[in-house]
Amino acid sequence: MNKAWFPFLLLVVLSSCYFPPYEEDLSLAVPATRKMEETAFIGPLPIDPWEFEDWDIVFYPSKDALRIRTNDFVRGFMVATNDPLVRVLFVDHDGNDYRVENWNWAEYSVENFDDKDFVFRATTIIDSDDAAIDEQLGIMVFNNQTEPPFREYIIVNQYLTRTFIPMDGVDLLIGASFFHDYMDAVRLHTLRIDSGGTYFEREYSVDPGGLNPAPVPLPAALRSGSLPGLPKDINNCFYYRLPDPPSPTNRAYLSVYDRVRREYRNFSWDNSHELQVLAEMDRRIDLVLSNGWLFSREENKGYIYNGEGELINSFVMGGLDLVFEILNLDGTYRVVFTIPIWAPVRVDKNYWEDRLFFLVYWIPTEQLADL
Amino acid sequence: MRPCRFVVMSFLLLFPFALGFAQKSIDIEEIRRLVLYFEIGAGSEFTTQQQSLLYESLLSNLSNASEKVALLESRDERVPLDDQEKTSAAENIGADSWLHLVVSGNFESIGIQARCLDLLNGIIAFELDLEKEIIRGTRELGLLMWREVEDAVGDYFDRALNMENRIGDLTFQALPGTRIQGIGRGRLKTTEQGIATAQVALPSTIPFRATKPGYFPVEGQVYVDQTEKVISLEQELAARIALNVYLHNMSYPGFDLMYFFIPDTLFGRVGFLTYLVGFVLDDGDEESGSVFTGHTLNNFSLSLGFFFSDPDRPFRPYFALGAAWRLVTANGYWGLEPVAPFAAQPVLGWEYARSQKIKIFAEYAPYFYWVPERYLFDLSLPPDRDLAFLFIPRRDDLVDWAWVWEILVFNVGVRIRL
Repeated sequence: MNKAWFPFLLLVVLSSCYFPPYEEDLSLAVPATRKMEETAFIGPLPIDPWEFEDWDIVFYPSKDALRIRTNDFVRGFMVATNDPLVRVLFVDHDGNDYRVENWNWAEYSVENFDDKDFVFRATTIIDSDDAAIDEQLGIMVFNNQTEPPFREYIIVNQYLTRTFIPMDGVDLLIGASFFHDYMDAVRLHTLRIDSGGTYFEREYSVDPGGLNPAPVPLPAALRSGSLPGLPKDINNCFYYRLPDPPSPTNRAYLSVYDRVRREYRNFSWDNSHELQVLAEMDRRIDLVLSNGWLFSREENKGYIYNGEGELINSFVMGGLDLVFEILNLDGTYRVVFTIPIWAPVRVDKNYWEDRLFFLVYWIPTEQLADL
Repeated sequence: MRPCRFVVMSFLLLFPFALGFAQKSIDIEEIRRLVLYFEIGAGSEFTTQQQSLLYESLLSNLSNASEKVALLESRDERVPLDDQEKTSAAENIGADSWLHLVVSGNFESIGIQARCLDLLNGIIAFELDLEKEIIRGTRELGLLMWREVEDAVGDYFDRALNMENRIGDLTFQALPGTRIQGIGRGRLKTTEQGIATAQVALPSTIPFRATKPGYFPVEGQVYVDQTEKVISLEQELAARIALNVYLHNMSYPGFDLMYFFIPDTLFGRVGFLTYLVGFVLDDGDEESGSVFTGHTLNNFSLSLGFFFSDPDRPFRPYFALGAAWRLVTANGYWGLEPVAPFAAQPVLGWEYARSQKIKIFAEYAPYFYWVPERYLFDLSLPPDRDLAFLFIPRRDDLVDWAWVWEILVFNVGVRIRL
């Protein structure tokens, strides 16, 4: 009788190298994604898991592909970060399968991943005047550890050709953001504050016009003046400017971590130059939406605030990333989410290997209140 | 883990369940059936022809010993070694008594040892130890050689059948509904007054086993030599509650609370298995340099089951059927896991112990996950594994949903009766 235990125990030992069928990032995202429209299922991508499995990966889909949807596939850029490196890879489709050039990436060293700092922001750019360039990614990099702090705007195309464009100006650029407008392509807004406390906002067109992109700095600030009450000695912050349209008063937002108070402080102003403190909001602003709502990401959850900093809704995001908001062809603004998932794929009869997948979802901006 | 290996393992796993609950019964018939075990003693000097003569003359004489006994020949040339084997062999061919006869010496001086056991009455019918000389050749074999043996068989079985006149009443006093095995062909069951009576031959030794669901069985044997005998049984109530502590696939801790609706027989089970902390025995987490792992997932389960055998058995197979709900306890979200929110779960297990208090158990407890969106479950499979998941239906172009059988799920632990 006791011999019956032997095969059982052998079986138990064989099965003991065990993980449950559960992917937390995906499971936590599902309740929210069930209220969204799935626009693309990308993968499997033949990326070496040993090279990237522990990296933070965000997929930035092509805006044209999302909007026009002439194909069943969606191309885009994969941005992987692992302190202190940022790598950009291009995810393409050859008509049959998704592919990515495994060892071909554009790499940058940021050297500062203090999560309280504003470090970099990326977005896909709508189009190019060069017929050979289909897809482009714009990256704003803030390196806050060098002296003086270094700011750079980089454009990467689908061939991973890079163009570095130093931001001009004497005073330190402390904030920058992309604004997505279908008609005007993507615009880059920047914020500087001089030693006297005077601020300057500028706007650049980031439609580069080919392989030799040249952001078009406006000779004069869009808006400048003084903002009494703004914390002094800010050298980096989240900054977002909502132009007209959709904001008739060109409202701007600033979010900065106060290391004395150990909390985020949020401000806004418009053409009236009156600084408004968003006192009820103690989370960092991560994105300003076209309707004036503010999005903040903290751990597993996303938070939606109105323009006055009052909480409207919160929802569990898991591994979802809110990558950008775009104006769809039907005239509605939509928020685009992506999620990266590593999952096993059978590559041989008895051999499985991890492969990378991206799921892409979008939802009308107004419906964020119902998530 | 290859599927074929799993099938073999499963067979081996199920093998113990085939081990039976054999009940030995002794029949009372009108004519007794005596099986003969004939043996030539060691060092004997009989030729093959002489051995045949001895055996056939013995058969001839014993066949006429009594009208009340039928003589059977053993089917096996080898004589069973001891009394127990002889009794088992006799029962296998439907005999109710056996005669073991050993002859030794040579054809001129023959030693005879005979031993006869009456299985019905549980007594030795007779024993003989004789020395014979053959003076007048083979004629004497038929007339005189086996007279004492023939007389002993005739005397005993004439009298043994008459034992019908010596039957007594054996009465058991026990809890109502108690079944008593070992007496005759059928099972006795106590009445609402807690009494069961059977007629038994006198004198006899009766082994019995009294069982009642929810109570520990009582085993013993009773010697009956009077026309009335009463046996009072003390039956102990089995456990109502048990606590299981176990490892799920040798990696994650689990706890079950069992409540026995019928003590130690029919149970309901509430279980909690957590993946919050566990350890893996392979290199799954080698990058972190730790054998410990954790997932924000827990399984809450309910099941109903029963044991196949009595509580006093050291080895007890059982079966349960239930469901498990997957609960996420992540920062920011506590609730049902949305990709595979629940699963059906059959459990096939056994427990083993010498003591009634603490037992070890092992069980095969596969999950059958309900998956509303099968591609999401595909993406949730554990990475870098040789996987043991079977999607039902197999093809993903038919339906979006699926039941997914997680094949390799085993629990090993300790069960404590409270």
